[in-house]
Amino acid sequence: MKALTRKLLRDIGIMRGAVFTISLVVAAGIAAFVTMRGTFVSLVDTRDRYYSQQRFADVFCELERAPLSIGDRIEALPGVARAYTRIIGSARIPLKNLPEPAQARVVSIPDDEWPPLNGVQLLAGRMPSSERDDEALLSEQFAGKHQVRPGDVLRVIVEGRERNLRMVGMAMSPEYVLAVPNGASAPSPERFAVLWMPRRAVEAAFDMRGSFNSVALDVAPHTPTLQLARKLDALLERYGGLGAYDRERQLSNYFLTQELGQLATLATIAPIIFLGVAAFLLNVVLSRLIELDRPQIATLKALGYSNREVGLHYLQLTLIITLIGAVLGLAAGSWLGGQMTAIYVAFYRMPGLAFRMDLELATTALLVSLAAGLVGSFISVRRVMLLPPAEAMRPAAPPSYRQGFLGRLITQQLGSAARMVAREISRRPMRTVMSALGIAAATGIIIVGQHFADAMDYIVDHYIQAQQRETIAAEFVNPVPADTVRALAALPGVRDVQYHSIVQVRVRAGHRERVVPLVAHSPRHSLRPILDIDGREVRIERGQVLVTDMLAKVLGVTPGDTVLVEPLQGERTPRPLRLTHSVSELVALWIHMPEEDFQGWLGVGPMATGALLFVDADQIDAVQAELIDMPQVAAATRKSLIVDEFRRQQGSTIHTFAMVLTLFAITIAVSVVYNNARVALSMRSRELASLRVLGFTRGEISAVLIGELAVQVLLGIPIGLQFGVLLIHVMMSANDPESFRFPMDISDRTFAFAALVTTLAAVGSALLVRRKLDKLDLVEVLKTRE
Amino acid sequence: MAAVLEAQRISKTYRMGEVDVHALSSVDFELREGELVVLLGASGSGKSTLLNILGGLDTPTSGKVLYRGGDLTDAGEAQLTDYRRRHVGFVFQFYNLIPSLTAEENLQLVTDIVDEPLPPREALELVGLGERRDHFPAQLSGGEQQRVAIARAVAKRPQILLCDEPTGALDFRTGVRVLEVIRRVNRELGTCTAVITHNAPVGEMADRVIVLADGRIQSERKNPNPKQPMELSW
Repeated sequence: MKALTRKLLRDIGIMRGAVFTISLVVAAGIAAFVTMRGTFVSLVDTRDRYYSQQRFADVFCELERAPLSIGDRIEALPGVARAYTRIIGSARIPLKNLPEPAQARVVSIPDDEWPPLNGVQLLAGRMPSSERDDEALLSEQFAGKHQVRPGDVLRVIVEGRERNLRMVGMAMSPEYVLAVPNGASAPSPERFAVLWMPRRAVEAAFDMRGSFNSVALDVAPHTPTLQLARKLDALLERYGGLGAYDRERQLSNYFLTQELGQLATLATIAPIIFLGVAAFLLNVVLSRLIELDRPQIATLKALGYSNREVGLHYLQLTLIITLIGAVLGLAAGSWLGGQMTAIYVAFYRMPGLAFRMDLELATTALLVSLAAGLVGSFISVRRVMLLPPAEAMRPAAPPSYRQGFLGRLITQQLGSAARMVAREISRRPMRTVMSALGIAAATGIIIVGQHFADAMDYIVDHYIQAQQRETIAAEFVNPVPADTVRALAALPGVRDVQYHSIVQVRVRAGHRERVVPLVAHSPRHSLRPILDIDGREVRIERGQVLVTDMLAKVLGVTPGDTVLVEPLQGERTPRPLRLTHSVSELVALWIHMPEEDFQGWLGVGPMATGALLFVDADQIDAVQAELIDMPQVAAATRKSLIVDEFRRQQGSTIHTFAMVLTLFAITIAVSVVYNNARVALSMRSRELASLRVLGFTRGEISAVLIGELAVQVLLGIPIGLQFGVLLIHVMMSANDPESFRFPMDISDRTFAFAALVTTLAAVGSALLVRRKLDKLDLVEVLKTRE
Repeated sequence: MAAVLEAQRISKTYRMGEVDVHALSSVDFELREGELVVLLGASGSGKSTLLNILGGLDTPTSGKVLYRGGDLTDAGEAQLTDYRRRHVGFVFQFYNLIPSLTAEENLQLVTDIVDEPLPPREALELVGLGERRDHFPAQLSGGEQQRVAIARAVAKRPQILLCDEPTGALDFRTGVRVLEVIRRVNRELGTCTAVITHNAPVGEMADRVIVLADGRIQSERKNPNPKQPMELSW
């Protein structure tokens, strides 16, 4: 082994504390990168493969009813490669272990044939026979949640009729990667089932002989889907078309895309922060090492080592630290990636979804960490190379301290220790700033981790609890006259009944359009108020039309503009509507109107699309059961269930995520404080020992060292709190703002937690170094030459 | 005798901290084949600067440096490195051993990068430290460390050995031992040697003694009968 290599290894042994802590920060960065990027790539690859294997359609449209012959006309539209018509209906599956029946979607499949689009993959059992009307395929996720095996019979309520259906096989489809029930804002695999049945059986069950109510299109390459969707809408208008949409708005794919967008953002931001901190720490530690190694650098050069060789020697130190970090990070990342992917597997049903760590990912991670190492050591290594050997031979000139006017003013008020701290900081302001930024990064990351829990609480408190004040919400199969809803007040325990009216409309402004709910409001309807993003109730007056600010932005309109609105139910003629006010809400795409205006504008009498009930706690079960049994009721959901489900599903993911991020942040805080303290100690040990000789106590000299760290931490934490807010903003901007506005409400608890964890990590690492300070050998330190 | 190394009217000014230092003013100097020269001077007389320039660690502000007739004055960093690597051995006042390497490994630092070096063990035998090759610098006395440093300088079989206050940090007896080793290297290997010191009696072992003061050569005398180091006293 070369003597220089041996020196390198021994130096690493001596600096193991720094090597270890910095490696950990690099490891955290690489682990974050590998975990998130790897999960992202695995999800995207699996999705793309699955979509293409199972011929996931490009354009979808639901309608009331059209004869099968229309299918041929759809297929004749230019740009349509294939049109697949089918029947989709809803059903309910009452199960003992569920407080309310699960929602089921009955989807027709061709008799004795595989679906040409939106393929159904059989995972167990067999296909249902077209000769029978009581056989079905069940979505495997629901089957798994409720232990349904091939051959089991389930009681299913179809069109108000109870039927026993035999589940002959378990299947999955790209259309239902995520099980999202109607009206839910999150997947719910226990409450949502898909039943695939032969067309003949579905036709009979829903009285749809010779007709279809859903069409999926395979679009020829390079066809603009929006134009095609318009043509399809025009064709299906008289058959009650509900508006064509592309994959982007297909529910399951939509949720998947949202998740992927967030992951991609995180996979970029998190590693940048960690590797940035690592680069900074490498810079601090290397520049100290070089300061201390001046005579050795000079000696090597005097012995005939070239600048390049000496520079490379110090660069190797960096490379080894980053390599150790990269290897640790790759190992941790592939484990964490497996864990993270497992969380996705629980909700996202795609065959072969598993975390894969491929060569490309590992190589990228390695290169990225090396790049961070190079950036961090560039300045120091350059200094080594430029250091003239003769100059290196002399001790470094004493650092020049200055006493500015302000400095004089401040330092006059201070004791000796504080004065030394103040001078040291003013001599190296960049180091203090950078260290403070490192601390800030740690604090910010903790806030991001905790924020998810805050957001969950906020959504529950401000959206679900505050905005949905009913106990049970019922949706009707078809709108009913508002009067009929009053009859529900007669049910035992019902304190209040209100109806609500929502109609889906297509809004057009120039070339932009969206399908959004138009909601009627009445002062008598207090159970579903309009709440702005800060939770304040917004009153709506006659003549006003409220549009959410996000919808206004999407459409490119401002209050006062008139848009063209086409109701997708009833009388569908598009008509102009003037948007008078805008409102900022959590759920971002809505239009609100006073009830009377709504009726006048639609040309209908008082009508209800659903009912909201406020029920005594002990009667909830009975009322819900009663509602479910009514044929006009499509679904009756109790709010407490939504809250529970939301918390249960989000809870475990959020806590894991918060814990991992907090651990990573602690790594950063410890590493920043520890390495700064070590550097300060070794650079100033002579000075500190001199103070001890002059009679300073251990506590007093610790104050000199720790005072500087305290300033960095105290400066860093407030910056970090702001940084956390900024990070959350950036992450949220990756979300589709049209779906759900993630609240920016960060609780005081989160701020306090972040500040506390960072402080504790800092104090812990300062104490580690303080122990070394206590062991300072006065005689030895003063004897050694600078 | 031919000049191996020659400095012609060299001057050096440098900045240290916030002060300009005129370290050398128009100095002429020659180091001839096989000779041992002692440069005497008080601290601040410019002798270290001269040695650094002669050894290619530094460049003069003006004047010329010639090694075997070749001009080093305008040599680039790469050429100077090559010059140090192949032709110059350095011995420093504070030994400048690499603390994380053993005695033998410190020598290996040099033998790793030159052609046909002395084997490290042989070089250590030469300075009488063959037994202590596995000791780290911290386990060696000052005199021993300096002898290791000399062995390290010699291991590359340099043409020139430049010693900067080699005894400056040592007591009398140890200093004498170190000077003996330097003389032995000079006499046995024929390496032309320049020793700088503030210690006037050391000059008695030299073939030639040059006295520097305030960055100028004050006097120069030849020693027809150089003394053995053990005959010196201070």
